[in-house]
Amino acid sequence: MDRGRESKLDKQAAVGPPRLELLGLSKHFPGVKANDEVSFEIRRGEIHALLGENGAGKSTLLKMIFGLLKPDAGQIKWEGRIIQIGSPRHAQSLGMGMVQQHFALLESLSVAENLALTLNRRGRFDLERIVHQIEAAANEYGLKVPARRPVHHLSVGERQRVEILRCLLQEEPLRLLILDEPTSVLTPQESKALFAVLRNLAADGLSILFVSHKLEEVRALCDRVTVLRKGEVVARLDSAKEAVDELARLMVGEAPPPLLLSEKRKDAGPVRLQVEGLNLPAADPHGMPLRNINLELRSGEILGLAGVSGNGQAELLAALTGERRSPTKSILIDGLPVGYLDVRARRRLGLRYVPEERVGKGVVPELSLIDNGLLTRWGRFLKKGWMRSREARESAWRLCERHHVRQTGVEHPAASLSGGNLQKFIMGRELDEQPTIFIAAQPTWGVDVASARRIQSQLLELRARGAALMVISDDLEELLALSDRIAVMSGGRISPVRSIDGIDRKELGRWMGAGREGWESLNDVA
Amino acid sequence: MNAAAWISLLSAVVVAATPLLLAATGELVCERAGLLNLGVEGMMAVGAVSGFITAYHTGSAYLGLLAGIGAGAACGILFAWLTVQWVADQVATGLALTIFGHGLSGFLGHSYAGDTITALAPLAIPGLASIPWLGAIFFDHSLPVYLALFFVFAIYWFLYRSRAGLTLRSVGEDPAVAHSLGLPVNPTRHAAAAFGGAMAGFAGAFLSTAYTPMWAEGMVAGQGWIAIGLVVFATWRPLRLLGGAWLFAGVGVGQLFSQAAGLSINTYLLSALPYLAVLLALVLISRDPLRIRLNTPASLGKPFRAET
Repeated sequence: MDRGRESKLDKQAAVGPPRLELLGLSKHFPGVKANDEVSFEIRRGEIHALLGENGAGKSTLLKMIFGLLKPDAGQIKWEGRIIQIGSPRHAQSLGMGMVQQHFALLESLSVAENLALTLNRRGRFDLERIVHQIEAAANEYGLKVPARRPVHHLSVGERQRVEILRCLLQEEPLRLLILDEPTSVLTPQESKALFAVLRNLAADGLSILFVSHKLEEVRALCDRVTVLRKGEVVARLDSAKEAVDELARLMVGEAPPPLLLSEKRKDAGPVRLQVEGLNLPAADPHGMPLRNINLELRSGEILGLAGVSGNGQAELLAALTGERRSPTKSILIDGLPVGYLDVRARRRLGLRYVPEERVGKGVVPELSLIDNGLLTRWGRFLKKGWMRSREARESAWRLCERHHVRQTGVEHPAASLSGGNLQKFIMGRELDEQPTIFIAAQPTWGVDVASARRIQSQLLELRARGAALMVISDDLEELLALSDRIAVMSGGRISPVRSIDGIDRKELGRWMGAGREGWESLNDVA
Repeated sequence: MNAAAWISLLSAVVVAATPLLLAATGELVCERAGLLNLGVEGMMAVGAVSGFITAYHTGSAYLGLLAGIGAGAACGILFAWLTVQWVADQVATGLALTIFGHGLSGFLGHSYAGDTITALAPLAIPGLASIPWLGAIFFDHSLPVYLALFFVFAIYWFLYRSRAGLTLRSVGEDPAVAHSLGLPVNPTRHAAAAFGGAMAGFAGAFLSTAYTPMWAEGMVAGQGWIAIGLVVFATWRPLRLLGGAWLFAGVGVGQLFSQAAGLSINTYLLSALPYLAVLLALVLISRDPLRIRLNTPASLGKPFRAET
């Protein structure tokens, strides 16, 4: 398949101008250069990778290409002509389609209704015809979706297929498909099947812009690579076969600091946190009920919780931390039943956590760093019921210093911090209180590599001090590096717990997709 | 009570439900687009006064209805201009609109206080009106009564069977997503607010030209608020408006009948019954959060501003 495709590609690349050419695109936001003179081209029938860390300016660039943002300077050429893309509609009418990282699907509508919003805008409104169109296209491209189901019943993989189908079915034949971090929500098997579909589409002449920060995927799938760092193009590679280390260096700027491994893992200590037969109905119609969860967390160990997000991790976190109450004896801290206790009471028992939603649950964005530093530990700064504000301020300074939080002043609002600095701030606030049980959800999501390493080192340090840790993450590599034991959540259930020694990645991958119909059905093709 | 009394009671309920239905249908469309317009009461008052004045001077109650619709639509457009164009807070703007509407109607209607006009004539529908019971209850009324029923079904069809309705629901659920799909978010919200205002104005004009064809300040008397409650009661589904409107109107009419029958209950308590019924119904309906959440337009009351 590969050879045939390359010859076809060469032929097409030779004929006519590139499909999309960016000439010195720039976009500034107050205080930030999101994109600085970005130039590169995408040829016909090529899978082009746009590689960059979180915050490198990829999303801004895509929004400009798709007409959602206006560039401050620079030009866009589409098939040889200079154009100005004024709106997403315009981009679509040129033959572009984009699948955004956060899906542009309306949860309460059915798949067919969602597609009806953008299909045959001029023709008669006929949902049945759209259902047929979806089913025909689904068969043709191998993208199975239930056309009549409301979107909130769909798995993440299914939602992504709906988005791709929408692009393929749009009025103007699709000529450029933009995928923003498409695999961040997929199991390894689902990713593999997606790649097979994409390769077939490219072989038919479709250009694909594949945006990612995952090096292995880019190497496996893409023809050429453009690397973006801090808003600038730092490399254009004509082959994705570059070594992973080299790509990483280009993307990050310098070699990432090595992970500080603490001394040899000691035998785990006594059980700190125990969950016994926990069942919890979903809190809202889009949520996932928890089904018979059993697990143990021992002091001196890190338990990694893998799984595609939306499979009950958020619900489990809420139950463990006390955000949602559960039957008294379903959760035990040091043998004490705590299911009925709220967050504060559990915090007094030594349980602290870092939520996935940094803004909104971790910090209040409008409040200063001083006030945010008080949120989970104000008791320390009280004197006869009055807040000792000087001590609070000094403590906030110390917190930022100790944990390398770069800020412009502790009286400034938390919203002024970047994602990585915010996460270091939240982690630091909780870690300074010496928790005996610590739960971190997506500790390094959207954080630059250097900060991520620092955060991971802190988790290992805390383990060495004898705390019981649980790390919930979408990033399997991270979990494999940190954890002593790993379990997988899927469909609101928890898998058997495996020790990290001799772990079978394939098995983990299968568990992540368990109970859901996924790209697996296409595995044989891939 | 004999059959004739029952028929006149039920027929009165159908008429009394009309202003509630008209205003609530408009508000439902508005809220489905994500705009929470709490100015219904004020828009009804403006519609009532402009309808009355027009009918008084032209002698045509129908022109009065049209004037009420136009004045209401103008209020709705004003609301959209402030909340969509200028991203003003919807709750505050809606409350201000209610106060403004009260004031304006009092000011304009001052010199007409107590004046009367010839009421809108009933139009019995030939054939249907002679069906025993049902004919007298449903088919022997003035035009707005039929239109109110028609609009409920028309809006149901519009929301669930037309592309424009699908667009409107999408805008109300997530304007950011709708915008990124290339749907006209702000024009849709403008149109929905204008329709909501027009329907509220219609409801007000119905009160002043057909229901009680005279001008008295404050004649809307909280019906705009009941209409807003009715939308929640119906969990934003048009057909459920019918049941709610008849229920609330039924309590109102029932208390009048029972007063006439000489029931010895404090009249103030009796007149408060419709409002208490709305409160009670809202409390009961809120016991099932799941159903509410599935139907509530997710962006209701939240401002939307596209990035540039």
